[in-house]
Amino acid sequence: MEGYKCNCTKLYWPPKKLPPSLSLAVKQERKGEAKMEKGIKGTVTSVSSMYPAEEAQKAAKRVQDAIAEKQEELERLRDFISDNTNLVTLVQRLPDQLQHDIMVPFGKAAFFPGRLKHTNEFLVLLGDGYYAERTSIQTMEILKRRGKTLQSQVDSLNAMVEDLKAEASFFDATAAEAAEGFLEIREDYVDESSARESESDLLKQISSSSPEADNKTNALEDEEFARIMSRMDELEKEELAAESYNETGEHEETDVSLDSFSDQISLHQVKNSEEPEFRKPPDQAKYKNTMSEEVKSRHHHHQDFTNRSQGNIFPGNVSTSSQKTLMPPEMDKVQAAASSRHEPPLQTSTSKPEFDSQKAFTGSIVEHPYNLERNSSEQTVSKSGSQRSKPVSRFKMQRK
Amino acid sequence: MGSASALKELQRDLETKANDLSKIQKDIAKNHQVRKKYTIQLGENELVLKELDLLQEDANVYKLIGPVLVKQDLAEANANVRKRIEYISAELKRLDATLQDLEEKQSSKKETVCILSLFLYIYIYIYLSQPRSDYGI
Repeated sequence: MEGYKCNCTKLYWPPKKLPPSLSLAVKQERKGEAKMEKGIKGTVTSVSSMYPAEEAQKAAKRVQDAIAEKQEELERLRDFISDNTNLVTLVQRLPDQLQHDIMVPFGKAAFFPGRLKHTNEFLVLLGDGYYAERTSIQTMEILKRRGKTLQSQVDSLNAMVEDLKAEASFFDATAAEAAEGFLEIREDYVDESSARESESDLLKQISSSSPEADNKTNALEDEEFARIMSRMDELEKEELAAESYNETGEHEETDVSLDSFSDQISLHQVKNSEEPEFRKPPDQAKYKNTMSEEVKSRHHHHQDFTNRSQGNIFPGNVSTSSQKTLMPPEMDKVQAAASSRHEPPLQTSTSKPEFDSQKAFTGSIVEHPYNLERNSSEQTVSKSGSQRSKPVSRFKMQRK
Repeated sequence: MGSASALKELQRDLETKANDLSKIQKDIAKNHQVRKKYTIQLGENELVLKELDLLQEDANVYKLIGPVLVKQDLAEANANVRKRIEYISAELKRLDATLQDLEEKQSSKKETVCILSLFLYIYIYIYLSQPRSDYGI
């Protein structure tokens, strides 16, 4: 019953003001987005822009009203309970004597003396017009049962009031914060390992081939990454057979990249010069990491043609690219698992893989935070959208 | 002149839609009230049933019909209460269905009203930003 009432108020609040408040909410959202776009590592939003003070106060007031309503109901129930207990004691006492001298009410204002006989016979209203003849003791049992149900109702109401009070205090706090001009600084938390996930994800996608990113990936080696890489290696071996086939495909791609992405060549030359040590690392796993990353990035970024000439040195090169075509499902799995484990739900809900990839097309190699920029998705959506479609088509092409 | 009449048309449209919306809202409110009444009755009847189940076979049970108490058989009273509960439950289900229907209608109406008011707003804005000579409705 109570929950029902609650529904009611929600439904009707506020019946006619809804359109403006709706539009207001939309506006606020937009504001938030705009700030997110600008932010590099996080967002700074004033609390008042998200929850205007007066709105928060209104909400708080509404909750207070609800509390008052519940309190009233609670009061009524308490009255019932006290009535009930009084009645129980009365019923208990009545059969003590065979008859009682009482004043019988007659009409509205008149009483006349009378005598109560049959003090152990009660006609109890069970509800809905049903009466039952009971003795005093039986009546007391019924009354006690009623008292119990009343008590349970009181308990549930109390719990509800507690909930509402918590809500009210939250709203009050929000209102106060908004009034004082608090700022909400939100920076997405990215776990070390999940960062690497997104890093490999980045490579899988078209994404940036920024030197920092690669360096970091190579520098930070942990279990997760090693596992992914070992899996990559496995696939690499499996796909060696398809080597020659993919090579032809790649030649085509590099040609394309030569014309269309010539402006970005320099960036990757810089990259290559920066990390020669990764190209010939002593340890095999590392070598493979670098290899697969670079090859992948080349494979997916047409621009990375310089890698190609150097990449030919390594026998695994071509095959890694082919391996890459099989990679996405695997990587997705790991990625999903990692994100569910490490990341706050906030981020998993957003289209995670795209963020880093979009970075690449801002062209800012220097300003590359390698994984925190989930919020800047809007900036380059169109660009990356067109880019994203390419690997897919290529993927298909290679499969044929 | 054309724009003025269009504006009026839009306004009228919006008004009718808003009226429809408020009507639906009233219906929903009524529905809620009826529902509430039925839920209370259901609870009461369930209590009665519980008490009747606890009575002995030979207990005297009366039903208040108008001003008189009519003696009833316990089994009969039990059956009656059960039937009543069934009826109320069915009624509640029905009310739920209508409520859902009404709510759907309400949300769609709300949308249209929103859009219409937005249109009207834009229209008025354009209208007002036109040179003064175009006034005159």
